[in-house]
Amino acid sequence: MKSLVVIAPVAVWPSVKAMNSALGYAAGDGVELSSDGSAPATHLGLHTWATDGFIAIATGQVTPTIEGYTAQDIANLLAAITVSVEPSVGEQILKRKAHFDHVASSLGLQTIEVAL
Amino acid sequence: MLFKLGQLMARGKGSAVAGFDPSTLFASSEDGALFDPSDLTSLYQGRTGGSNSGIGDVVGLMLDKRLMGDQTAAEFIAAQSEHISSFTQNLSGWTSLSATEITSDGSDASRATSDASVIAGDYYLLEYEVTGGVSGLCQLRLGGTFVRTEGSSDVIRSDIVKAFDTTPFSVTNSGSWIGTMTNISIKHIPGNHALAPSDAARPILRQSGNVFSIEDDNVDDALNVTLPDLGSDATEIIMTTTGVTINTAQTIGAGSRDALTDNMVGYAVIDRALTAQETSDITAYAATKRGA
Repeated sequence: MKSLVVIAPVAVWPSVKAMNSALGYAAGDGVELSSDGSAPATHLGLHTWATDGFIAIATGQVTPTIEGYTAQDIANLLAAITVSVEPSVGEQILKRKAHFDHVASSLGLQTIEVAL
Repeated sequence: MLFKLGQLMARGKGSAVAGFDPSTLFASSEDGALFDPSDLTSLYQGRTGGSNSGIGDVVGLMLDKRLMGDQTAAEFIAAQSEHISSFTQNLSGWTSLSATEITSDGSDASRATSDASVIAGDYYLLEYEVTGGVSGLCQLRLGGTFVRTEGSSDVIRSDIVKAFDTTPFSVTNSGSWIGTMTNISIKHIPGNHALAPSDAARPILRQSGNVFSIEDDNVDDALNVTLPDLGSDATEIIMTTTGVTINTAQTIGAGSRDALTDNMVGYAVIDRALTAQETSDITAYAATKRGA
């Protein structure tokens, strides 16, 4: 499995969840993000461990057949979100939180820390 | 139950280094939870069971071992008695109704209901096989939880279902289903089990030598356990590959608690203080779990 990060605008997240649900995968509510790390969130993101098959779908290499969605619907959604798979920075392959933070940072976003 | 021989062998190696059985902390019916990632039969990739987690796989469900003694989760579940002993139908259409096999001829939109109610909030292992399906659909529910829809495909299922109410397991012939469900088995899995809140939030199982750990991505991963009120003198023991943290005199009210810590090799929470001997024992146990 590979480290996969997905970040999407808040308005698009319901579509991310719905399409993932149609694929039998629960995306969850997402981690809240904004430009300065304070509420309200402008984007939501997730980190997960994904199989090559799921990565092929998430990166648009394979277009799945999903009931209720056309190929154009899927392409439109992928165009509206950011998907990243284990990027290399120098000689280091980023995974987990380092991966998530790298992608968020590249979009000018910070995690909104929730006080416990 | 689906598990691989290699996982059972790995479990054997993992348990051989641990002399103290932490489930003995709960011998006087103490409440709480106990998790041991070295028992791979207690870890499931899916949040509704299915295949056990192997090394490098995600963990969607982690079973509480405090009631299992020194058994693996697979051994404990296998030893549980069958939860149901018969089915009845509300209309006609079911031509065979035994404890382990039901057959529908599709002549009526009838529901076959088992004889035993379940405990709301508890988990059950539901296993069955669909054979001889011809046409139509049927829907399975347990404890008010929709499990899945079956059709005419021959399949073997193994799901862990969390009951939301006490409604007995039932199969509703919702579309002239013609087929047989056989080898039906429902077993209660008592305990406060931990569940990932979504598929994306599932952590991953790692192994280094005899050490089995669960890796938290520190982004969104969680394994949430729903606990009863443990009072104001609870003890929480967090075991990782780098050490053990024992938090004493904790006030832990009823609700959800994340049992996951990065590189977790074990976790326990109990509704009382530990004795000095127990603290020594669990500290030594944690050391064996991290290979020290």
